[in-house]
Order: sequence, then structure tokens, then C-alpha cells
Amino acid sequence: MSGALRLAGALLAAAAPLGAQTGGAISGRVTDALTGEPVRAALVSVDGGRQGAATDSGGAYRVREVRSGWHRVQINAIGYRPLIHDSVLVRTGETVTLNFELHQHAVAVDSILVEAKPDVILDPLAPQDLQRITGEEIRRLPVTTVEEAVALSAGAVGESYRGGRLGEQAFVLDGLGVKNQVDASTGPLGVRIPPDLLTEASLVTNAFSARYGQAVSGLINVVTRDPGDEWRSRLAYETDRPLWNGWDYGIDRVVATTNGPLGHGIGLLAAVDADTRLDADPVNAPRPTDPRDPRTASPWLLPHNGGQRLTVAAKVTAPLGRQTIRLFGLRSTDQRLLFDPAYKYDGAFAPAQRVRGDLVSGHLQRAFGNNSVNPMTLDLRVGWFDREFLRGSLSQAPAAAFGPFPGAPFHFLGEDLARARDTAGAMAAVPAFTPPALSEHTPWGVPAFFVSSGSRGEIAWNRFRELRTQLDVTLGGGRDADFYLGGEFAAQHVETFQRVKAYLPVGVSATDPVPPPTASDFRPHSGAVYAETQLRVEDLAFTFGLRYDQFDPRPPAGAGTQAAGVQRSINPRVAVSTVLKNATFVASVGRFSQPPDFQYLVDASFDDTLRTGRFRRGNPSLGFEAAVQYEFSVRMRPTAITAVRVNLYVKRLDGLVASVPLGLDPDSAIFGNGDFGTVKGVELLLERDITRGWGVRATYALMGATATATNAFQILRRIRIGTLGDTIFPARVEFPLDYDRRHAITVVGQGRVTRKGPFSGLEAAAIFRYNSGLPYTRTNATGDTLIGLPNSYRLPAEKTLDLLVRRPLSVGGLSGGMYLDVRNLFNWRNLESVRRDTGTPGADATTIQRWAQDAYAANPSPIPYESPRYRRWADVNGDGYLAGPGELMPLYLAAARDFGQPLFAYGPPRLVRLGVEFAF
Amino acid sequence: MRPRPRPRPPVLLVAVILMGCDHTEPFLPPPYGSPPPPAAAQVRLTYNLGQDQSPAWLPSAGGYFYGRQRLDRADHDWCLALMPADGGAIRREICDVFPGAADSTDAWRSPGPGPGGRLAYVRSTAYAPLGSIAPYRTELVVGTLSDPARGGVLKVLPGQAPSGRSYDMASQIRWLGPSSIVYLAERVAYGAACGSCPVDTLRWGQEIVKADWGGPVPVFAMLPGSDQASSVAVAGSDTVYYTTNGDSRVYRLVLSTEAITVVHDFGLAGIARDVQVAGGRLVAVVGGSVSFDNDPLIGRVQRDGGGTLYLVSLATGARQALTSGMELFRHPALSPAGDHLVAEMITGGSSDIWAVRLP
Repeated sequence: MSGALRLAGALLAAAAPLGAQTGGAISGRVTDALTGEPVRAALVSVDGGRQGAATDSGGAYRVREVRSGWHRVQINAIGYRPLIHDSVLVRTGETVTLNFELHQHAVAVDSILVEAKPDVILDPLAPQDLQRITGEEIRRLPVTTVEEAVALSAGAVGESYRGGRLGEQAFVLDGLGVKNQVDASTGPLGVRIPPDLLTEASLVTNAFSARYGQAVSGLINVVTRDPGDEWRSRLAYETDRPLWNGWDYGIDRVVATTNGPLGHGIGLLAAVDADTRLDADPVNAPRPTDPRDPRTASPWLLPHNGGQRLTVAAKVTAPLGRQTIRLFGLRSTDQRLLFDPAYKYDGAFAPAQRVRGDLVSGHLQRAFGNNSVNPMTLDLRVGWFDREFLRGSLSQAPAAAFGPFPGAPFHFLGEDLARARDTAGAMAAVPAFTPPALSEHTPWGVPAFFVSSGSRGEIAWNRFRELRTQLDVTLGGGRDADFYLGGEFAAQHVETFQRVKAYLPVGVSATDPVPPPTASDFRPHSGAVYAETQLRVEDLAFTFGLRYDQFDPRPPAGAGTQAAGVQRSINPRVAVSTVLKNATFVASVGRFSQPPDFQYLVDASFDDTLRTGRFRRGNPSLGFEAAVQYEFSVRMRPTAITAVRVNLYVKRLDGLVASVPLGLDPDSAIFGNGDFGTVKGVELLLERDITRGWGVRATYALMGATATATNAFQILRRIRIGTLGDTIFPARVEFPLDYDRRHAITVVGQGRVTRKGPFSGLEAAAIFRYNSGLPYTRTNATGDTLIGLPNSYRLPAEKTLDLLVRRPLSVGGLSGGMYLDVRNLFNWRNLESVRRDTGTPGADATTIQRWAQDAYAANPSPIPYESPRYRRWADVNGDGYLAGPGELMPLYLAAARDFGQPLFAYGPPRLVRLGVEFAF
Repeated sequence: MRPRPRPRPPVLLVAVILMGCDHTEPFLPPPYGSPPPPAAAQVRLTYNLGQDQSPAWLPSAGGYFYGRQRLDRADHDWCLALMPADGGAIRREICDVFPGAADSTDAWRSPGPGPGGRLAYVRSTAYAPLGSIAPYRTELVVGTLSDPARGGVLKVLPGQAPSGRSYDMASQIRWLGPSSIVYLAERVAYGAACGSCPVDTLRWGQEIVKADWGGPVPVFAMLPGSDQASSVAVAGSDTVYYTTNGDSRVYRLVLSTEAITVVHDFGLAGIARDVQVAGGRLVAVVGGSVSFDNDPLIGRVQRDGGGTLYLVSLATGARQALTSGMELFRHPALSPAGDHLVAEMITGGSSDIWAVRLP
């Protein structure tokens, strides 16, 4: 048997916990250093005895459900000298193998021999596709948030995973699911975890434990660290203030973290992560050509596009008998001003958005018995999640306190009406809303395109609250088996309110009727139970899991539509793995399901500028969205420090929500589980551990993702295909999904200068991405006729290179570092979207001419001298009037070009940040 | 000599950050409108193709409101425009912006800016698609500059004047105090010289009404001696100047004593109207295209097509013509300090606002 096989065999001897949990395991064998005989009944204690196990007659032991992070392991055996290992790193889904050789009291030798490091690559009992990044790595890489870090994983396209729609992933924090069940497909989660709190974050895209549901595409698993035994703090500030012009985007970020003991075994970990951005979504759009356009002189900043994010979090650990209780609390607020080109010159009326998320959770773990097989570990988790979303018009402009820092929550017009879900009161024009009028504050003056005096009149509000209780039981079944049982129950509360054109009474409009306000208030229940086991039979490892999910929308009495009642879903998951010739082979199949966004259970009214529809009927009878994924993986370790992983998968999507027509009226549609599709792909991951000062990780993903609709609001229409012009229902043909990225390459490199000299300690990390283009749909100029099939055109490829350089420093006895964080180092201009009618970022000359002609035809009146619209430079004959096409059309054309600038068609520009941090 | 220690890079970084200016601000649109026109004896301030009428100064003298007919709007609404003191681009325009009202002509006119950010004005609505000329509803509104549309309706017209006579329109709104105004109650008639001739709107003064809403209910009273009044001006809270139809004299009424005196008589210069008083100066329109006669259908009526602007020193009684008889002015507005004068000039059936230099 080769050494690798022996190593694999040793790993197999210890059953590993499933992935996507908060902890791993410590296992190994205890022997007498002199005789080599196994030591029986030796006590292995973790962190002072909070967890532990005893060795069996073969000297083997196993401690399960050990939290991810650093631990202190002590071993005691009668007649032997106790040994302590202070720094044992346990990571999620991995088993640390610690083999001890104990010396009898008479022998004065002190040694601990760790014979094998945790190796998830070759561990056949880790069947899942897991890509991990630690909190420390996030700090060293040019990434800011957990989401950005997870997006480095193969198969991730932003926050879409393996081609899925947004929101098809589950977010698990310290073992407890947290999901925005209202509008995950269109809105953010609402909570952000400060990277400083992390032990690690990982993305699992298949074969994740049956313990977790509410996901179709993947699972983001985040584990926070515990407070330490001594007080340690970190303070960091990064900014681009010292930079100038196009290098200064108004970024300020402060991160403060502290942790330590409070006495009586209680520990505290607290963090504040705050950032403001004058331009929260900068774009690398070209400079306009017209010198009168303000962007010509300063093309780098978009007006009215600032943002502020603030997260405050704290974690307390306290002893409870021999166990530990963990309490976690977090509040995140994210408020944004939303740039709207129509309000370019009158930002006070442009829309804004605020998302707040509160999360409180508690975790109690209880281990029963320290015998050789650690027969049972019980985890009880309770979490309270409260998320509120608001978008609309600000009641007053935010006061900037520090840079763009408003320092106070945004308040919106009609906010009280929305919270009260007062649809009756909202039938009339909502007070304080004023109708928009064509702006006169533009360089062009003419009444066209740009508006002011009033907002678009949108009030969009929703609130989601959830109390989730989760109980997990881990049972040891000897050395060759583990059993996992458990369940969860969530009591939820959904409230929504929507109103458009609030400056008008419902039904009154010069053009389109104003749809009535929509509101909902219902209290769904969700629940699940699961059972799972991992077994080893010779060189084969089997994972069997079965999960049962159900949810009940429980619409309020008197709701217009009768709900179908409880929706159920059964999700089996099976994985088989083995080790052959330096490689681990894993074959898995699993069914995954999630309740639909609850926003699709209620009516939706929205102002769709593309006129694809402005009203969708909610459907309380919606069932689960589901996927069945078949996967084959090979994991190899060609050398001790390199690893290769290949994943081949096919995923069948079914029952995704789409808009189903109710008739010929394009505005008449209902949400239904009408969409299905297929995702298939290959992922290749190459890793070289950081050794001798450098390491690298490269991933390549090849993917094809198709479905019959690309989002829930897209109406399933009849489409004419083929040369014969056959008309079919799209349910019989699949189109590329919005996140169908065919090729994606990501290379992450890290290095450190270890030699003494002027660059000693210097660290550098770089991320290179090359992604083929995403699909898009072409239409004719009016937007009502498709050219080709949906998503049958492709954007060009995009690429970025990000760099972070860090130098240690010491000031006044404080150690720390200063760093330079550069995103998109070469300022590559990446195209992220195009116009549907032209296939180019901007409108063509013909379209702009048409816009201008139409605008002139609508307002051909002369503009007199005293009018704020009068522009002296355009008064060619100097008669005090701008009159006729000779004087007015150039203004309308310039306004059309200004309005049609394709700003958000482009990706972010080069962003540079200077940072300084201190640890004390 | 020891070399001076060089600042360490971290210290430099911190210093640079601390010295860093505020972040670059995104662009804000500059004031794009027209600059004030160059000064002259008479300067045309508005070029609007519609009518520009009835200027009235802000108490701060920072500018003046006037009524502006928007022929560029499909509904031909009238708006209240705020013009800077020296002219240039309009700073603000107050219109009926309710989209559901696009099928009617909504006229907001006769602005009366008052103390404490108040604004009184008259708004009327006519069904333009029906070819209606006469408004079906007119309101005298008292609001604020910050939210003029939500002002309270002080009087709905047509209505009954304190004298018992009916009247159709209010104009020349002047503030006596925070809750007290005087205005000219007018009659309105529409007539055409022939069957195919364009309809002409006739407005003439009937009496001066004092409205006081300081109490639980508004109180309306006719000022003594104001029968057949054609214009009104105030000086302070206790003195009112006015003219009457067909009369060349300007009267002063002390409200507290109800004493009425003749301030000036323009005599043969013609009928005086549109009086304004400020800074010890009196301005009025005299003579010109004006007539006062007894119409067999509508009774006594003063037709006014504009006249000559005259300036009178209240201290000496000396008067001088500010404009020639060739130019027809109407509705002058004297700034609170009496140092700026703007007025309507009527040319070819339209009226625009002009600035007239004062000596």
C-alpha cells in the first residue's frame, strides 16, 4: 500500500463530519511511545474539557462537532505524562488527525507528534464541493466583503452560483440558516458579516448536508470566531481621500474589532464596520464628448450615487455548566442614493433605498459522555431575523456629516403609510409627493428627458421577520459511522406594501392608469426534518441523507386567492466516494429545494419602463422550486503542497417561478412554478499552498445554464422560431439563463517577502479574473419584438486584476500595517450590459435623432430670454428667443446624447484605497 | 551636525490623510439661466410670447413675482414667476402641476407676497377644451412661499362684496399685517365689438376690500371711500393709497381714523390708476389709453389699455413723467425702498415686464 493510500486509510478510519456545518472534528490514535501499544481510556479534552472523548481499546478517539477555529487539546492517561497541544486548527467539514505518543511518567521526554494534517482534498468523507476562504485570507486579499470573497469561488458569478438566479443560495451563519425569504431574488440579504469576525466562509455547491435546505444553487457557510483568552483589538481605516480627481471616489471605511475575557469565563467579541462612498457604484464609462456636459470635466463621479453601510456586531460566549452558550447579535444598515439618469440635474428627487437587518441568535451545545465514540452531541440554535426594505423618495436630503456620511437613517415619503399597509389611504395622492416635471436645470435647457420638481412616486416597502429554532443531534456509530438527525421550525411574518406614482390618485393619469396599491400581511410557517449518515465500508465511504421540507404560506383570512395549503418537498441526497491512486473520487446526487420568494405570493405592481408589464397577480399556491444535481468529482494531491480538483455536474431545475399569462393582455399575468431548466458544467481547481513565501489558487469553470424564463417577472410568451416561423410556447425551449457564464478563470496569488531587508515582511496578493460574456436579449427599437431567441446574444469577455500590498509597521509600540488596495489595476473597461435594441452600450445616432425629434415635436415652443431654459449661447440670432429647429434642435440633440449615456453598461473603474491598521 | 530625522512613511500617510480635503463632490448644476440684462432707462425683462402681468415685490426686495401666461403649455396655464430684482432668468415658477388638470386652463395670477414668507394670489380654472373663456371657479388663496399650492382659500369668486354688490375677481393684493390684506374687488365682462371680432375681457375696479383672518372667522369690509376704486397701495399697516375710476386724483386713507385726503391730483394729465407708494415716492399710471364711461349693458366701466408712468415726491408734491406717451404701461410695482420700478408694457396686444429707471 502506498503512503498516500495509508494516509487515506488513516483518514477513513475517522469519520468526518459533513460539510456546511460550523465545525469539524478531531480524531486520531493514542499510543505508548515506547511500546507502540494503543493506550486505552485516555481522556482527550478540547478547550479545557468543554468537549472531549476517551480512547477505545484500539487507542482511537474522535471528538465531533468542534467549532471551526483554533483549539487547545489536552490528553490525560493514567500513568502517562499529560500532553497539551495549544494550537489545533479545526476547519469546517474537515477532520484534524492528531496521533499522540504518550510517555510514561518515568520518562522525561515531552513530545507531541502530529502525524497527519487535515486534508480535505483527499478526505473521502468530505463529499461536498467546498471552497473556503478564511477571515485572515480576506484581510490579506483585495476583497472587502464576505460576498466578494465567496465570489472568488469557481462557479460563482457575482452572487449567482452555478448559473442559478439570484437568491437561490442559502446563507448559514454559525450553523443557523438566515434567508431573506421575501425578495431574495431581487433584493439583498440585509445583513453583512464583518470579515474581522470570521473564522472562515465557504461556498458549497453540491452534496451539502441534509441539515441544510432553502437553497437550490449553493450554500454560503459562515463561521464566526469565539472571543480569545486575552484582550486583542484591531483598528483599521482605509480611504482614498489623499488621492485626487479620478482617483478619489469618496471612500472611507473604518473597522474596529475587539475581543477578550470579561471574567467568569465570559468572553466578548465586538466589531464595527462602517463605510461611506460618495459614489457607491462607480462606473468606467467613457468621458462624454460634449464640453457642456458636466461629466466631461469630471467623468469619474456619478452624482447622487452615494452610499453608507454600517454594521455593528457582538458575540458573547459564556459557560453553562461544562458547556458553552454563544449569543450573537448584529445590526446592518445599508442606505443608498440611487442614480437615475432622468434626475441627473435634480438629485433631490431621485430615488433612494434603505435596507436594515437585525439578527440575534443563540447556540447551546451539549455533549453527552466522553466515552470512546462520543455517542451524542446536541446543538440547539435559536435565531431572530428582522429585515426591512424601503425604496422611494427621501423626505429630506441627507445631511453630510463626514464626507457623504449622513449620520442618520434615511426617511422616505409615505413611509408611515407603507408601514401601516394603508392601501385605503394610499388610493388618493399621497401627501408630500409632487409630480415630476421636465427639468430646466440642465445645460441644454430644453424640456426633455430630465425631470425635477417631483419623484417617480414609488413607495416600496417590505419587512420580513423570522424566529427560527433548530435542533441537531450528532450520534457516533463507532469508528465507521456517524449519524445526524435534526429539524428546524421557522415562524415567519411577511409584510409588504407597494405604490407607484404616488403623486396621483389611483386610476388617474393622462397616459396610463395608476395601478392600485398592493399590500400583504401574512405569517407563513416553515419546517424541516432530516436524517443523514456517513458510513465507511472498506475503501468506500457512503453518505445518505434525507430531508423533508414544508412550508405553509398561511395567507390571511379573506385573501382573494385560496392557498393550496401546506407545500411539501422530499429531498434525498446520496454520495459515494473512494480513494484510488492518489485521488479521491466522489459521485453524488441530491435534490435541493427552496420555498419561492414570498413576494411572488402577493400581487406586485411596479413601474416597468420597458412596458413588459406593470402588474402581476400573486399566487399563494406556489410550491417549492427545486433542483436535482448529479455530480462526479475527482480530487488529487500531486505533491504535498498542491491539489487538483475537478467537478463535473449536471443540474436539472424545476418549478422556478415565472410569470404565466392570464390572457392576451401583457399586463395580466400570475406568478407560477412554470419555469424549468438545465445547468451543466465542469470546474477545475488548482491549488498550491502558501509555502516558501508564496501560494496560488486557480479555478476554471465551464458552464451552460438554460431555462425557459430568466426571471420571475418574465412572462412566458409564445415565440416564433425557425425558418418556417413556427410559433411555440417557450416552455418547450430553453434559453441561456442571465448568469450563464460559459468560461470563468480566477487566479488568486499570495506572496510574502521572508528575507531580511528593506522589503522584509512585505505581503502582496493579486486576483486576476477573466470571464466570458453573459447573455442578453435583442429586441427591435420599440422593444416589443424579440430579435432571435431570448438571451441568444453575448456580451464581450471581461477581465480585472486586483492587487493588495501590505507592509508591516510599528508605531509607538503598536504593531500594524499599511496597505494599498487597488481594484482593476489596469483600469480595464469592462462592458456589463448593452442596449437591447442596438446591441451596443449606447443608442445609435438614428435613435438619438429620433429621441430629439420626438422631444422637439412635443415642445416646439420658443424659449424666451427670462425662462430658466434660455441658453444665450444657443440664441444664434440674439433676438431673446430660442426658437425654431435651427436653435432648438441642437439643444434637444445634446440633451438626448446626455440622457442616453450608457453609464451602467460599464463595470467599475480602477479603485485605489490606502489603509492603515493597528493591532493591540 | 545631526541630520534631521526624516518623517517615517506611516507618519506621512497619517498626515496626508488628516490633511485630506473633503472628498470630491459630484457635480452640481450651476445656474444655467440668463444673466441680468445691461442697465438702461427702460429695459425689457421678459420676452414671453404670452402675457406677463401684475408684478409685486417681495418684502425683502430680492425680486418680484408676476403672472406669466404659458403659451408653451398645451393648457395655456398662468403661473406665478419669481424674477430677480435686476432681471435675468426666472428663479422660481409656481404653477398648477396636477397632471389631472392638464385639460383645463389654470390661471394663478395677481401675486401678493407678504411678510413672513406668505403669499396670497388668485387662482382660477376654466375648461379650455370647451372653449370656455370665463373661469368656472376663482379663489383668493393665502399660502406660503414654501408651499403655495396648499394655501387656504380666503374667498371663492364670484362672490358678494362687503358692499353687497357681487364681484368676479380680486387683484392688487397688498398686505397690512400678518393676517390682513386689502385687495381690489373687480367686475369682469366679456364682449366683442362684432360677431366675428375676438372676445375682449374687461376688468374694472368696484371697491377695495379689507380681509382680516386673525379671528375665528375671516372678516371682510369695504374701505371707506373706495367705491369705484381702480387701484390700491399700502404704506405701513394703517395707510392706504387708492385711485378711483375716471378720476385723476390719488387718495390717502388712514385706517385708524378713516380720514381721507387727496395726495396728488394729476389733473389734465388724465385718469390716474395703478398707484404705488414706497420710500416717500408715489408712482401711478396716468392718461394714455384709458376711458371711463357708462356702458348701456354693464354700467360704469373703465377701460384701460395702459398709460404713462409718473413719479411723485410725497415730500414736495413734485411730479415727473418717467415714460413717454408713446409707450403704454400698466401695473407698476415700486420696490419696498422705492428705488426700483418694474411695470407691464403693452405692445401689440401683449404685455411684458420692463424695468424703468428711477431718477
